[in-house]
Amino acid sequence: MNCNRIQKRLSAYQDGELIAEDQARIRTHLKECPACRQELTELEGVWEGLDSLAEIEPEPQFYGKLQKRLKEEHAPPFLPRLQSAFYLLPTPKFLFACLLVGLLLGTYMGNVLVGNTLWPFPHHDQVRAPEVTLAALDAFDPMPPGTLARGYVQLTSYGADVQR
Amino acid sequence: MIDESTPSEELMVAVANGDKFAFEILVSRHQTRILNAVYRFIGDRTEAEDITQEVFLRIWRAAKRYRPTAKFTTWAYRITANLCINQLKSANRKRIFSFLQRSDEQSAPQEEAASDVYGQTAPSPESLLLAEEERRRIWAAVQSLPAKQRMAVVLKRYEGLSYSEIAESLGCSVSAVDSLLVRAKRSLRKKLAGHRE
Repeated sequence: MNCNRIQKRLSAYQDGELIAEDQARIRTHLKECPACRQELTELEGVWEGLDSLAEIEPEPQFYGKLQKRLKEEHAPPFLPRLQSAFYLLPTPKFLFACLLVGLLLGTYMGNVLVGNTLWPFPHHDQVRAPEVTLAALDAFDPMPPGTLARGYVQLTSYGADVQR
Repeated sequence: MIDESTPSEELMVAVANGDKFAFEILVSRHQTRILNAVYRFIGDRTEAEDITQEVFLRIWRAAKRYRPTAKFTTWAYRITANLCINQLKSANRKRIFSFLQRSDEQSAPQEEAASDVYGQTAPSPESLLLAEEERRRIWAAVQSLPAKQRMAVVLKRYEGLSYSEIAESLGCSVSAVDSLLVRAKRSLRKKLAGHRE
């Protein structure tokens, strides 16, 4: 066998994958051929160099995570579950009804809280007189009744009357 | 009766019948080897853990199709190789660089531990740096191999599989495995030779 053919088979020789006869033939050749010996030494050097690649250990919760994934696999698939979640969502009509009920309930509760009575809406006989309602417009006066400014103005006008 | 000494092939028969205890034994027996095969192929620990989990999920799912005539490890490596090669094809990013960054963090404690065990004097910072540099170069050279060559190297060099077992795992002929390994070794030698001089 010439060197070219030997060198093509050196990888399998190194891995011990040749039949005994070929293995012996190459061994004999290597004893006599420094070039092929050098080739094999280099191959072995590369192969041994791969030793430096560190080995890692699985994380302690490896099996726990695997079990979780197995359980998920036995659960119904994601899409049907998602679809069933959509079924729970209200239709637009239902949503509108909810909104309306919420508004009415909110108004009622607000009136109950302000009026301190469970029936916050005024009866016919309790409707306030128009003057009371008109008096309420004083709130828009530049000096509404009961304010400090109104008091000051009243006081100064009273003083002026007394002096006169 | 299933226990720790039950052969993997028999455990698989039990797994096919839904035996979770048999599956747990199987996982604890093979997880380290499969994880390291994937890690050396992919070069990223987190991704390797994910793929290893997927390998075992597939083993669980395919248990009923498993025939005890095939050696369990060869069958498991076939699933591993398929997943790894597919992952590499679909991944569109450079893993080598991220791996090299992580390997910095991992290497230092191991080297410290080794010097403690043998009671030797601590190596100089220069020699540590050179060793680390050499290691990085080897990693980069392995990661740069084409997918099938890389997987053949991992299965031969680290898992100690024979050519026929590798052929079965990769779904090719024995002569194809020989050719893959010849090319891989040549390529590694070329990439590493310049730096060794």
